[in-house]
Order: sequence, then structure tokens, then C-alpha cells
Amino acid sequence: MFINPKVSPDGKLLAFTQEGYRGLFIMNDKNEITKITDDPAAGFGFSWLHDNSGIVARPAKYDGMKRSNGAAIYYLNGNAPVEISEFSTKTTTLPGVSTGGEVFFLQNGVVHAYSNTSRSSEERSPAGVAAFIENDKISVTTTAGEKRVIEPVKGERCINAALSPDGNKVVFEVMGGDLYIINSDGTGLIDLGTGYRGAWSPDSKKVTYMLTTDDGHQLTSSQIYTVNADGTNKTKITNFSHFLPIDPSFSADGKFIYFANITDGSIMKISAEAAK
Amino acid sequence: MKKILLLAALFLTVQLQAQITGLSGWNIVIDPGHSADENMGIYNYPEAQKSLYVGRHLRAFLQDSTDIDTVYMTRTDSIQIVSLSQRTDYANSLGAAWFHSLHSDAGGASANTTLLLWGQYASGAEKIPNGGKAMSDIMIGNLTKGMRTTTVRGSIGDCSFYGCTSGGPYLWVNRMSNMPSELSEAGFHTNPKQNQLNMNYEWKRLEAKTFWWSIIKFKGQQRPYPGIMAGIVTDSESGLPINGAVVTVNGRTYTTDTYQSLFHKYSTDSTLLRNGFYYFERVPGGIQSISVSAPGYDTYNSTVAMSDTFFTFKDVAMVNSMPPYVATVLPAVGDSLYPGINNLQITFSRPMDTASVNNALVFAPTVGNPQKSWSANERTLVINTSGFQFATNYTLTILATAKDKSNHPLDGNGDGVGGDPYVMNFSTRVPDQVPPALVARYPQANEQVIEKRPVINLTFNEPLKTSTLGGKIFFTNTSTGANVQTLTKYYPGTDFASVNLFTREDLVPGTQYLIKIEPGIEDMSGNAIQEAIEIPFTMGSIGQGTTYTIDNFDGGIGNWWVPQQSGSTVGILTDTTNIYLDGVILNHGTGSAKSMKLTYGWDLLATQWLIREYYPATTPTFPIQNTYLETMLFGDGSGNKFRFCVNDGGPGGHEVSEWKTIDWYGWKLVRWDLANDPVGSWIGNGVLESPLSIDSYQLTLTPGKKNIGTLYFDDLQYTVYGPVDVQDELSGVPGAYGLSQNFPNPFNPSTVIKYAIPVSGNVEISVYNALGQKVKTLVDGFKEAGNYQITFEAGDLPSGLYLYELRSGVHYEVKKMLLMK
Repeated sequence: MFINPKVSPDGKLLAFTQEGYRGLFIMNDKNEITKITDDPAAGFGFSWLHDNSGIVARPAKYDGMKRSNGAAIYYLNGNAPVEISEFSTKTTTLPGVSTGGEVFFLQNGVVHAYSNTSRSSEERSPAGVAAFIENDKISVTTTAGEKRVIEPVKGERCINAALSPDGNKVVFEVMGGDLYIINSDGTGLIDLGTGYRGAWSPDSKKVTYMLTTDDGHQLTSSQIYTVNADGTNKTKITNFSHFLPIDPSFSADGKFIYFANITDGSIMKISAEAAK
Repeated sequence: MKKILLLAALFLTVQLQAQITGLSGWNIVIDPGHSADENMGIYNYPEAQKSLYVGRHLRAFLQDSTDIDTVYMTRTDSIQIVSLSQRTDYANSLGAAWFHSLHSDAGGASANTTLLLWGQYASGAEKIPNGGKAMSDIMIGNLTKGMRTTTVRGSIGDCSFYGCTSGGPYLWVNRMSNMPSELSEAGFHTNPKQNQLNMNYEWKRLEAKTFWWSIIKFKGQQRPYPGIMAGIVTDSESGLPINGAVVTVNGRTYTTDTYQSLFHKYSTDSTLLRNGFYYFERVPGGIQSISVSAPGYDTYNSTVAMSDTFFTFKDVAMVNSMPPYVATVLPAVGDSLYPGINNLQITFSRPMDTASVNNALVFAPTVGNPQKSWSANERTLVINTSGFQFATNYTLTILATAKDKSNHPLDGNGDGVGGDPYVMNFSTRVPDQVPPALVARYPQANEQVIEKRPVINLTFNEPLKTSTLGGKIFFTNTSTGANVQTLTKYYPGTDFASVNLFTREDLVPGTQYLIKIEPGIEDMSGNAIQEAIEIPFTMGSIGQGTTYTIDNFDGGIGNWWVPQQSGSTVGILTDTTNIYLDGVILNHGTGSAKSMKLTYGWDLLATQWLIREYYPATTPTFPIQNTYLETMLFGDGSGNKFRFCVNDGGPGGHEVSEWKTIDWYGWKLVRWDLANDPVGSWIGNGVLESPLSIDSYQLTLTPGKKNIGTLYFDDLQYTVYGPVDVQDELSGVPGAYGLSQNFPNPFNPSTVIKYAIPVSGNVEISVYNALGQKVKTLVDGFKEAGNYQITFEAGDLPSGLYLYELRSGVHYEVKKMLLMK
């Protein structure tokens, strides 16, 4: 069963994973599928490099039952993956790619930027803007190299933060609560209501997300929606009675939404227009 | 000596508080299943609350007593609504090392098993990363012992448990977490005893301890000395837990929950809830004294040897110091009874010394020495009234010499002090002089029946004298005068009696039959039916249908959920609502070996009543056209209602038949003509849309009717009269003839064949066996040009290869299909 599809910035490749987020797969425009890694947890929270050459992810390593996490880049040209951070039992933040196209990760609580050109990292903020979850709060590094910690809803835990491509907004969830959008300077909180796994359109104008119900053991329903970045024009994209669509993400041109259908394990795409 | 004791105490204190090492560099996500007040258990205590507190305790044990790095919780309060995706996304984003999901289960009132479900693929292999199975194998033993249940389903892969056919793991938390994981089901929150214990704060510590110890063992560390004594204080006679009992162990006291301290949160009835649970931690090893006191009970004193390896369970049965009294009598005081038909019944507040009671009974006027019998653990005395006179006022005195099993003398006047007699007055009625009446029947007079072997139901309004039934009921073919072969069964009830005639030969279509009840059948008082009753009916000529079994219950009732398992079931008394396999009340018309018995109780304080007796299998599917969904239903004459529910392909996914009032007693065939009968109202759109499969039997209370009853179900089936041929949804005129490959193929027992006719004309579709012999004609007649599909029912054919052939005009086409039974 395949889940979590994300299209490459140039729109030519589709990356996805399987149940348990084990490994990463790439499908090209001829529908040929290649497994680029079988590493545990590599398929959760991964990001495409801006030059389409690879994917940064946080795989897990096991020593008996002891789990270590670290950042690694998986290249599509056949080169061996590169571990860009130490692997630690205490690494709890996901790596990513900033709006300036630099890979970032946290090590011992310190932000590191990784240059894909020099293949080296240093203790600094990445170029452009980056956002990530740290200690249940949203951290944003700015173009000026400052790190800003945002606690949008006091005392509540944030998860699944995603920075808009223009770096101006963050969509995120509150554990046990709603889906929100907030400006990356910490102002302008917008409550979108119930929703999960928000993902931005390439032009930063829309967010797609899933709205699910469950019985505590299995999903009982799921549909995909879009909403404008200002919280208006909430639109139901799917109206399936026999599918359970999850993990929506926009195509590179913003016209389609990719999603996983967990009733049969397939990856599908649908027009980003409203369901008929 | 004092020094030695002091050192021992110090050592013990250090031992009890020592931090366990070996968990450094490891962390865990604890996932209290469900949210807020979801999955409400019996007596208004939800699974979601129990799992939250167990999670909090487990987190505290791990953080306070081990060197674990971190303990995370997906849900931390009773307000958050945490979705499944958030639970696993939270754990996955943290890169946590372990995921443990806490749950309890739902089912019948008597079910209370434990279960650990680890992630498993459909291939049978354990989920990667491994570990969940090994942890579950440890947890299941500790959890089962800790919950004190001997019934255990085990440590099972979730795909094996739920029956995945592909992919997997089955449970979201196992499938979508990227670390080793498992899910625990710690007993049933629908079990009355379990859920009253679940309400107790320390009971949830007990459950959490079993997981804590399991994790320590899994990590290869030594479990510390437990030092926990716990148990349940009960009434020695009733077995009921005692509220407010004060337990003293090692100088500390624990008072069992009371209405004021706890149960008022869940009930307005101050006497309903009780658990009798007590719990002590940090109890030193060796022999400990225990003392228990409670108002109205003798104080209990004993000693207990502490276990070095597990909880020390010590249950205490308290002896009631109150004298026995008469709790209920039948007939009620001042009421009357029929001598020889109604017995006199006296129920005492506790088990009695039966000899002392039997010798203390004095009737005025005297009745000789009536036959006596005891039941209900010697609390209930039944006195046979055969020797009593009609139309007489009696006084019964139970002398103060009557005693309970602890030699407490009878408290006849109920003032709490023993040693006085009980006196009751009752009368006997005038003799019954009204003959029995036939109040329900199947078939109705002049009805047209269509089943080949109908079960005749004759429901009377009172029990009958069986010796008067012989030679009084006849079932004949009107045109030939011949008797129809039947098996006759008599079913007596409290308020009703039924005579069922199970037909043992196929009736002839288009033929008149007659049921005749001759005069002379008597009730228990000897009143005889005076006039003959005739019920003529006709065997319909619409064709001999083919019947397909859905479930005849001969293989058991394991495919059916108990009523409480369905979230749609509301307004029931859960203690009295359940299903059972029965081998006595059977549909003898089909030679049935088993039936399903359903006992129900409706909560009269509720505002909605529904039992959804759910059948989770979605096969077989059945057509709509010319099809009857049928079941044999042994009615209780209660006036409550029954209906079928089917899964369908339309909005809402379910449709129901209209409610049918159960006004009969005994067996009767209940049927739903799917194409022609009205569709009832539930959660569908009121239109039957293929594919159909059975969802459930459904029952509801008719306000004002009996709220307690028993029904039996047998031979759930559907019968198809003739082939089913419908025009396909794909309208328009096809450009060419077409005969599609049947689907599914292979099939059992039905399959769909689509065909296209470009020109209006006669069409014949026939089925041939491998020898070329025609076995069925599915279509034979004029058809407008169009696309069609027909369902081929092959339940009466043997497995094998078959050919189906389309002929229309000059067109001829044939295809193969495989029937595999």
C-alpha cells in the first residue's frame, strides 16, 4: 500500500512511501517505479531538494530496540545516500528545505544548514525562511538568520507544520484541535476548523488538507478539501463514497491534487477544482 | 532486634523506591485510545476516560521510577478530540522508539477478555520494525492476571485477528506508526463488573502497573518487589461488592468507593453502582494483617502473605449481621391466584435454612402439607397450590423460628430486628370458565402462501392441556381430501401457547388447503374450545423458488455480534440482552440443528430503543427482483417490533424493511419482498440499490408493551422466484451484440452476466453443463434494443464448468464460466 505522495518541484517525478513510512519510491513520467531506499521512517516528513536531485528525510536506525534518528539525503542519480547529521536517540525534529533551497536540520537543539554543493553543514540558519516543529512549538528561521519561536495557541501542542513556498505563512495542526494558518512572524492566526495534514499550493495561495473521521481503530470517512490562505473559500474536492483519500499534496502546476487511497493502496490525482 | 528491624525497613524502603535503569536512550508514546467521552461503557463510564487515566499512571511509573529518556502522550485530557492521523503523526514526527495504544473492548455483558494486537501484514509476518509481538507476548500474561480474568484471547497479529486479505497491518496505529507498536484491550467496558472497577482510580493504576512491569521485562530489567495488596470486598451471600467498606492494612486504611465519593458521577440511582475495590501500594513483604469493617456486617480479620512477584490479591466476603426478611411474594399481598396453576412464591433477603422455614409455615385455613421447592441459592421458596380451594381467603404465617444459614431469626415485620413472624393474606380465584382463543395465525384465512413447505402457526391466548391436542388439528389438501404430512410441536408460554405444524411435503401450486381446529382443545382449567375453526388457504402459483441460505446457525453464532457491540444499539438493559446458541427451539421444517436465541430487555427510562443484531459478513449478495429475504422468527407475542436491515450500494449504505409487530408466539416465517414491499426509514435513502447483503436483524420496543422477552431466529435465507433480468444503468442502444464474461468468475452461487442487443427482438440466454445438457434458461422473450444484465443463481447446481449461450436473430455467442462451491 502506497501513501504520502509528493511531486518534485519540476513536476516530473512523484515520491511516495508505504505503510509504516518504510522506504521511499519514485515514479517517473513513464509510470516506472524505483525504490530508492528501504530505510525505516524515511517516508515520513520528507522534502524534495529544490533542484529535483534528491530527497531529504529522517530515517531511523535500530540498535536492538534503541532507535536513533538522523538526517539523510537520498539522491536519484544512483549515488549512495549521505547522512548529513549525527544519529541520536534524542533527535525529535524533522529536517527540511528552506525557501532559499538549503537543507536544514537540528542537532542538539541547534539549527544547521547543509550545502548540497559543498556537501558540508554548519551551525547557521538556512538561506531564506524555514519552519519546523521543536518542543511542540513552531520555530521559524528568518532571512535575517534569526530564530523565532511561535506558540500560536498557548499551552497546546503543534504538529505537521508546513511553510508556504513564499515563506510568509505556516499551516499547522493543534493536537486534539483544529487546522490553522499563521503568518511566519507569529501574527494573523486563522482557525480553519477540523482538518489534517495541510499542504501548500506552489503559488502559496491555497492549502489542501484531509478531513477524516475514525472509530479509534480505522478511518471511517475521509475527503479532501482546499481553502484559500486567508481562510476563505473552503472547497470540497473529493466526494468519494468508496475511497478513503489521505495525504493530499498539490501538483507542481497547482492544477491537480495527488493523494493516497487507503482502501486499495493506490496513489491518485484529481483536479484541484471543486467536486462535481 | 530493633536494629535489625530498622535495617530491614530501611532496605525495604530503598528497594521500593529504587530507580530502574536500562531504559536510558529509549522513549515511548502512550496513546490513550479514543477521545473525550467516546465509546461509552455500561453505566456511563467511557473507554476514553479509562484509557486516559491508565496512560497517565503508566507515564508516571516510567518517569518517576526508571531512567527512561521521555514519555510522550498523544492525548493528555478529556477535552481534546485526537484523530487517528494525529496520534501517529505526533509519534512519527518525534521519531519515538515505541507506540503503545490503550483500549478496552465492547461486547456482551458477560464477555471480559484481554487482548494484545501487534502489527502484522496479511502475509502473516510481523510489521517492520519488529518488536510489537515480543512486547505483546509479555504484556498479555501480566494484563490478564492483573485484570483477574481467566478468559484471554491472547497476543495476536492484527491481520490474523481481523482477517486481512492484503496489505496490513489492519489497525491504523499499527499500520501508520513508523516504530514498533501494539494495542491493548484490557477487558470489556460493556461488562458490568469490569466497568464499575474501571471507574476506580487505583484500578487504573493496577492496569498501568501490568504494562510498566512488562516494559521493564521487555527491556531486560528486573521487576522490583511489587508491594501491592488489592482485592474486592463483597457480601458473602449475594456476592455483590460492598460500598464504603473500610480496609486496614499495615496501619493504613482504604475506603471502597461509595455513591457520594464516586458513583454519583455516573448514576442518579444511589444503589446501582458498586465495585468493592481496595488497593494499597508500598506494603512490606511477609505476612500482613488485614481488617475490614462495613455497616451491617461482622468485622473481618485475617492475615495475608505478600507475593514477591505480582499483585497480592485478597478478596474478602463479609457476613451480613442483619436478620433475614421476606423480600418479595407472588401473588402480591392481597392479590389472588388460580389454585393448581399459579404457585405461591416467597423470596427471602438471603439464603435460608430451608428445614427451619418449611417447619415454620402455617396456613389458615389449613392446606395439609403442600409440596415445596427451593431455588435461587435457597432464597426462593415455591409452594404448590394444587390442594388449595377456589374462592377462598388465606393467611400464611411464617413463624419466627425460620432462620437464615447463619442462624439469624426471621425479621417478619421488616424492622431490622429478628425474631418476629411474617404474615401475608391472599385469596384464590373463582375457577376459569373461558375456553382458549386463537389470537394469531399463519396463514391467514384465504391467504396465498408461496413457500413450498410453510410452517403453520396457531397462537392461543393461554397454555393448553397437551392431552387434549391429539386428533384435533388437521391439515388437508382440499381438492384430494388427503392429509398433508406434518410434524406438530406445542410451545407453552406464560401468557400464550403455540401449535406449529412443520410441513413435511411440498405443497402443490394453485391448490387449496385447509387447516381445521376441532372443538375439544382445553385450557389448563379444562375449558374446551366449543366451535371448529377453519383456515382455508391457497398455495400460490408464482413458481417454485430457489432458496439460498445466508446463515442457518447450525455452525454456531460466532459470525454475529452481540447486540451491545453495535454502536447503533440503544435503550437496552444490557444485563438481560444477549445472544445464545440454542439446540432446543428449532425450525423443524428444515431439520435445523441449532438456532440463535436472543434475550432482550428495554430500558423504560430511555427515549430511543433499537437492537441492531449485526452480521458483519458482506456475503452472499442477493438480487432485488423476484427475491424475498426471509427468516424464521420464534415470536414472544410481546407486541414489540422486528425488521431486516441490508447493506446496499446507495447513499447511507443501508436500508431496512418496514417494522413488523411480533404479535405471534412460536415459529413463523418473516419475509421481505425486496422488489415490491415498502422500504423502511433508517440511514439510507429509502431505495434498494444493488449489491444487497444482510446487515442485521433489528428490534425495537413498542411503548406500553413488554420490556423483557426472548426470541429465536433460524434459517436466515433468501429465495429467488425465477431469473433476475434488469436493464443496465448504461442506457442507449449498443452498436453490436455483446455477451460479456460473467462476473465474478469463478462464482458461488451467483454471478452477473451482461449482454447487449442492438436490435429489438426475441432473446434467449441458456446455461448448459459440460455434457451439453441445458440446465437453466435465463432469458426467453422479446427485448427492446439495449444493455442488460442478469443474475444467474446456481445454488441448486453442482460445482463445475458451465457454458452460457446468447441467441437473438442470427446472432449466436457462447462463453464459459466456473461454479466453485
